[in-house]
Amino acid sequence: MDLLDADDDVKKAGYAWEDTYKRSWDLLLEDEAGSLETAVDRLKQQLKRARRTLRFGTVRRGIVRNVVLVLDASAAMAEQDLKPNRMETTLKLARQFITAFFDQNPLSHLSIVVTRGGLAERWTQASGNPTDHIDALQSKGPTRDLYGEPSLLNALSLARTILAHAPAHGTREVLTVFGSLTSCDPGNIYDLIPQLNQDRITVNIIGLASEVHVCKAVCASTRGQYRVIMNEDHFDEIMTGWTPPPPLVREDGDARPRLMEMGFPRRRKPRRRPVSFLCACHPFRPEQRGFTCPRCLSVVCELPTECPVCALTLVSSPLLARSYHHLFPVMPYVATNLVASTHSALPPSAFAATILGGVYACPSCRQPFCLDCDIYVHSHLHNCPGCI
Amino acid sequence: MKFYLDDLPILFPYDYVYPEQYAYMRDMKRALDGKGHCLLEMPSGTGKTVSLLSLIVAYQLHYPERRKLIYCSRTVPEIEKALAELKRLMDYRHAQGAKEPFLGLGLTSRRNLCVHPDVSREKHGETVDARCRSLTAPWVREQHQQQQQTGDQMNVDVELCAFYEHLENADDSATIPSGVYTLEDMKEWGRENTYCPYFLARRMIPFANVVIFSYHYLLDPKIAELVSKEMSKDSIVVFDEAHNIDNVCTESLSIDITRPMLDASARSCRALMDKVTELKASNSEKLQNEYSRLVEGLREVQAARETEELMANPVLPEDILHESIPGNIRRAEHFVAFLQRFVEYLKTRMRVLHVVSENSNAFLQHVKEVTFIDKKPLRFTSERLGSLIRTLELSDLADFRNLQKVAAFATLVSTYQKGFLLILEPFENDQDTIPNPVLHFVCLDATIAIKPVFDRFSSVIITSGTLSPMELYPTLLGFKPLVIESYPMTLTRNCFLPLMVTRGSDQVAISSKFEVRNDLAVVRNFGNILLEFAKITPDGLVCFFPSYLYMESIVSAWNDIGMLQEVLKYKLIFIETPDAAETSIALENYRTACNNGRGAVLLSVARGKVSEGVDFDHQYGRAVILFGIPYQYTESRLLKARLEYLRDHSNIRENDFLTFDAMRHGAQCVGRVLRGKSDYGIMVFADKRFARQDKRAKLPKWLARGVTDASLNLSTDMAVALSKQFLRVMAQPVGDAEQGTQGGTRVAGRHGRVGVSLWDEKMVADVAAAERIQQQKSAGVLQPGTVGIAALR
Repeated sequence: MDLLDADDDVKKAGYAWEDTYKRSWDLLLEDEAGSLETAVDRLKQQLKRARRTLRFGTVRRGIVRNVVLVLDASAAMAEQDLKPNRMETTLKLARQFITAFFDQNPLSHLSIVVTRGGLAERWTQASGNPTDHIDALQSKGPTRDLYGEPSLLNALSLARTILAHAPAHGTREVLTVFGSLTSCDPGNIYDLIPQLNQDRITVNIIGLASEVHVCKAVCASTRGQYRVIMNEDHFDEIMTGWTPPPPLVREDGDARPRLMEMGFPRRRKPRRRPVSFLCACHPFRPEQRGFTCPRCLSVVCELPTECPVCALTLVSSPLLARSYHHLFPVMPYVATNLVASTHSALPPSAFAATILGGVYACPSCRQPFCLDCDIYVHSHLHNCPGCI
Repeated sequence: MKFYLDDLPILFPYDYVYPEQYAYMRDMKRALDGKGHCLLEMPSGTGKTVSLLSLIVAYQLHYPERRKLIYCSRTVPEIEKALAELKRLMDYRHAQGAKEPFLGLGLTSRRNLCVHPDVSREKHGETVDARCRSLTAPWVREQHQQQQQTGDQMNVDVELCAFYEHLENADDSATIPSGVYTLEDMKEWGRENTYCPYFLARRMIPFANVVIFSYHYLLDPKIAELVSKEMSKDSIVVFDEAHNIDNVCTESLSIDITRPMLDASARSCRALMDKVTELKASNSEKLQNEYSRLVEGLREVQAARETEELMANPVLPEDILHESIPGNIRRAEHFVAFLQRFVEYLKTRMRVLHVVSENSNAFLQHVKEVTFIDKKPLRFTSERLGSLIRTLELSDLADFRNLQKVAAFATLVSTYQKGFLLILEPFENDQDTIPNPVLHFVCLDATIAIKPVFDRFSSVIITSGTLSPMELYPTLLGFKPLVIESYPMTLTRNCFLPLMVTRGSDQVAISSKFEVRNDLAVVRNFGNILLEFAKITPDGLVCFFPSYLYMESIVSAWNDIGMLQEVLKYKLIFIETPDAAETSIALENYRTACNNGRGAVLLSVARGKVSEGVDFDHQYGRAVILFGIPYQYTESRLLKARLEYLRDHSNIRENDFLTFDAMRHGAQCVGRVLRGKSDYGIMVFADKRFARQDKRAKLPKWLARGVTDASLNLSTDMAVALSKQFLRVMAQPVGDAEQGTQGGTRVAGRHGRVGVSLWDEKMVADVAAAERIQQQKSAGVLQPGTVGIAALR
């Protein structure tokens, strides 16, 4: 870790006395063969990370997601075990997450809730526009003023009221980043769990310090996942794990796909001279860009959204296409026994950006790939360049 | 699963067996084969009870001797647990096609077994006993019968217990079908068939294959004589959770007498006297009968009673005199006068305002000089009082409890001279000015009470999670074990983290040593440890202090320097008190706080109720902090006397015993947080003396194995950093690193553990074969047929 992150460390390093007690000799260990185990471990982890995002076979996924992102803004988030502190790291990763989230789930809605001082407040309204949320995260909001204890009960109750209005065909998820080890609740949280289940809400929690029983219990009983981070990379990994849509499980065991009414609105033709007009969704804000609902012809300013007049779900076809890849993921590449030492060992058509590590091949087109390309194809491209 | 130990087929009710369970069973079998005693230490949460029961039940049913198992545990919940485990095992055996008649029973007090609609509603054990006796005593029943015979049904005012009557009238036909009965099953069965479960259980004990009850039924001579006398010699006796057994032994023969007790005794004497005069006037024939019976001898009297355990002799069976009662106490009025004199004598002794410590001989000598009471009649006091109470047909014995204690004291003090001491302490504390005298009659020698058990039974198994250092127990209890073994815990991840914190973050050494314990630096550093761990530990955190006194002083000091307010920011604080009811409320709220995510700290005492009987598994105890070494209060005269005795008679140095005692309690405390392989917890030993070799060497093997050199001499911040990392690693999900447990969670993530911490049938067979070969090699010659019995190691 030290070797590879050397550059980053120089930038990040604080004063020595601010650092917690570290036994640095434990980080680098030689095994019998004399190689550096930690360095190897890191490569292994990379590989694992690439594999993690792969889900095999066709699974029904809820590509229309309604998500409430709950951020803990209690005093515990000011701890400096993540640099510069837990909150800053969380905000940074949350921004990445939101970008990736809307990239992969363009039909989804997200809302941010912040909890501190025993209360929970809604920071951003549910919307499908990533910039709203990212702006909020960057602005001076409640997340810069950390005090008190979080309240899991209040946060989940608020999330429940937000998600109550979400349409039935989408998933309802609460994604929580929880730094504190306590939760200061006004009531019994175990009374809330049946209500969450009734509303089909899944609660996922990332713990930043250690395993807290109540979080585990809530996640387990709402079919969510509770994970505790080991370090910043692990945090990133878990948070990234939230981006692909979760497999859809219906309690009633109904496996039939549900049809959903959608409209593909037409963009209002741009005039030669830009003219401001009012849209149906933000009545007091002049807009320059708009889409016309194909059913009621009212104008909305952004996609995807629900038509405020006729309640039709409005999407654009490129967005729908982007969600599509989750249903047909690229097959995992298999490791070959080929070891690439130089580019010349590979055929000239090979997709290999770097030559370190093993060589992987697509099972259908047999094209070789390097590790980095493998990760890139599966995490971003979602199409095998060899097969196309 | 099924596997073989030598030729013995064992049905084990789980699919996998832990290696340590296998070793445990193997060594226990060795002891049973050799008809010897054994001392086995196995960490808690590794399925000790189930392996013990599987082996012994298999042993019983395989070999023709059918040796009975007497399983002794400490508390009623533990008895319940063992019974449930036994029931599970037998169900499994039945499912596997082993159909055999088998009876397993638990025995406990009337309070837990009574089904009488009114009596069972009573809360206190003594009230239940008294009320039960008033319904079932022979003379009450006789009276009832007489009234019925006289024919006036209207006037039958003597009530009886229908359950008991039915059982009594059923004679020998009152048996229960074979099977395993938990206490609740027993009650259920009693209710359905209108048999009294308590007396039924007692009656069935001779026929049962497995009997599970409390230590006292074997160790306390008052009860043991009645319950356990019919056990055959080749029974297998097991003492579970036996790390405190020497104390149980000494306590069963010790008596404390206080001023109020003597006053009550004097009152009882007067009441007795009144009764005697009354009876003499109305029915002097009865007293005459008693007198003549006493002339004939004691044994016959004893044979007449069956249900009367309260009047039992406090002396061990072989010490009871098989002679007739001396003449001067045969007459009832003489005896009561005799008792009065003795009580008055004790009262005068209590007036002394300085500490007196003397042995029984000196005491008896003094008694003789002052009151002319001889040693011999004193020895019969208890028996004689029992006989008198029966003659007077007193059923409400609660009033006579104190007098009985005094009588028991008289009998004990005149029977035993060696290993006992009388200590009179006029003041509770040295600073007190108002006298509150207590006369302690203490047994110093644990061997006295347990000797009959070792003599009578061929195989006695003493087992617990914490028996280290094990060399001391044979000396303390006076027996020669055939097998002494301690087992480590096989783990695929290290689920506990022992940390010896020897200094605070400011590098000041910390210790609960008397000279420094109240230093501000030490108090503050102890407080810092609590604070830091309260910050990083999720859910429950348990702290143990050496004594209530020290806990009070340090908690008030923390309050003064604002430490408690700091801690309260992170967790709620609960404190154990000597009051059991208060403590149980605190515990309940502590558990609630752990469950709903508020988090809590429990401050308790290393020798209190919490440290012994309460488990802090999973979220209820993620970390335990031991503030200081839990030494006993060394200024106590009782302890000093015991230490002196041990030094003179058993060659155990004072310091060795004190350290041994402190470390076993320490280990017991920290062991509270780890109740199974899926559990995890941090164990903080906060005292610089823990780092020393002599202390560490006395930790149980499984615990000592987790102590690495790196965790030996830590400051607070280092310990906190290690703990943080540990907690993160432990929080990683099931499947990555989870331990195998035999319960429900074992399905997930089994790969990687099988072969390490779990063995299936084939592996057990392989191991057994390898062991056989090994042992044949070491024996030098191959002798087929003898292989099975010889030692496996």
